[in-house]
Amino acid sequence: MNPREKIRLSNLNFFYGKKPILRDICLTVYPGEITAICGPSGSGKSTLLTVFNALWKDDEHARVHGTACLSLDGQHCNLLHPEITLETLRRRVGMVFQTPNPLPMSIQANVAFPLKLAGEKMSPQVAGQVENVLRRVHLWEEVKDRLHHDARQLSGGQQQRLCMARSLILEPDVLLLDEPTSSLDPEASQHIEALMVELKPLCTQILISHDPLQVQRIADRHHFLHQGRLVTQPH
Amino acid sequence: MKPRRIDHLVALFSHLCALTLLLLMVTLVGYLLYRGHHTIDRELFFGWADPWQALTFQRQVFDGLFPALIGTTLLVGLAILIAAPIGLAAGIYLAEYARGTTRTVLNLLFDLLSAIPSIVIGLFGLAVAIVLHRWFPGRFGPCLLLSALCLALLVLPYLIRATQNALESIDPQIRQSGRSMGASKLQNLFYILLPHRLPELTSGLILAIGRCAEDTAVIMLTGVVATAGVPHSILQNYEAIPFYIYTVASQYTDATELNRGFSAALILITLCCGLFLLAFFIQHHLQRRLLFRQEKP
Repeated sequence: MNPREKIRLSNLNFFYGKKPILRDICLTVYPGEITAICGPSGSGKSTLLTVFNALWKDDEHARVHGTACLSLDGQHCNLLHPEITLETLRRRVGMVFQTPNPLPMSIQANVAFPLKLAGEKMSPQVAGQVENVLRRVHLWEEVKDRLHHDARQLSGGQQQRLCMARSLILEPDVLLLDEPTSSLDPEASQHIEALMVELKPLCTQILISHDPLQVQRIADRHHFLHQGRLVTQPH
Repeated sequence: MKPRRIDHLVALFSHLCALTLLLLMVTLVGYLLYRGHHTIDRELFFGWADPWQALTFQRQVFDGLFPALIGTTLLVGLAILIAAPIGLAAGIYLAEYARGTTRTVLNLLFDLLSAIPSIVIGLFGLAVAIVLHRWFPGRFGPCLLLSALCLALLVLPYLIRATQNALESIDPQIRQSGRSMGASKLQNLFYILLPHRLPELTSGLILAIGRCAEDTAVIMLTGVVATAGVPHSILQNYEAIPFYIYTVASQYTDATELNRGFSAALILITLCCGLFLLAFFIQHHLQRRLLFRQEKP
């Protein structure tokens, strides 16, 4: 793996039961960039995303063959290794889902939740981290007076920014975004897009998108997935 | 017929069904109130005993409902205490861990268990009591503990299914969100999945409470008697309201005595409502505590 590369997939095949979902995927993701993956529904985009944080391992029917390497702190991490520590990996590779999915907790507890999972208790430092990350996603001014309210009462755009804040609080190396604006109105989508561009120096982003204009606007590279095969297109 | 007209007819039919059920419930409770409200008095609860002495357990009540009220409360509480942890754990196992043949076989077994009539479970309890009585003569026989164990067995399938269905119906994205943040399977379960489904789990518990409170067949064979007073130990016979109602309904000699049975039914419904409220209170308290706790930095 080239030191300038963040993630490399080689000859990756994904099976669900006996059905092949992804075939011979070869893909390189570079650090600090937004790499977009487009394609029609059912082409395997979201499945491909689960390879990067090994979320596929939670499904007993899923099998993956090939090579998938992630560069973390100068070390190469084999994403397909059976003994990989999933909890540690997923704290370094954050994920934002298609539909905003705030947990049934307060706004503050939602954002601090990954820290709680990592064993940290609520402290002035954690409260400070929550504030910083909410400021980074431009949500602090809107929620600072109701941090202890149910996060599910926020609007769709606010919820998605909250989910991004939750993913960012652990300062991940890679952020996976599965159509993060598909359920939002144009104004909320603009907020999220601007945020993704702002985050480029901080983390590598892999974006699944159905919107070619969005890909043109913010992605550094994009790839097209068709019937489980990847077609790389120059940007 | 136009699709819109069919929509209206289906909606009308659904409303009518709901209204019929509501009317039935109101009629039932109304009739109980009509027949039973005259005889709800001190004598119904304490007979000729002094209420204060009865309430402080200084004097036993043999001709009132008080021992049956205590017996039913103890019975339901004990049965739920036994069944709830087992039901919850088995439901979690089926929804989260069991796979393949194990899961299919266990699902079938729990379905079979839920189909067993309560009288059969009562008979099983009686057989256990006879065996234990042979082994420990004079020390173990039909009693409150045995009834509670049998009732726990009776309501276990409700609790297992309620937990299993609650967990299996969680949106996959909610399930994945915790895992994608680095939660272990256990953390995901206790921090996200179970708190997320507390209302459904409480519904299962309420169903189980109701079933425990109303069942007569099981307790008839495993320890309930017409006159025993307040039990001092869980290894003693006891009185229970459903059995009181059954006895009155089958052996009443005059209208007043029958009306006392209606009064007892009203008291049983009130007791169940109290237990439901307690379950809701616990759920609400747990939800606030688990989900919206204001952690001070």
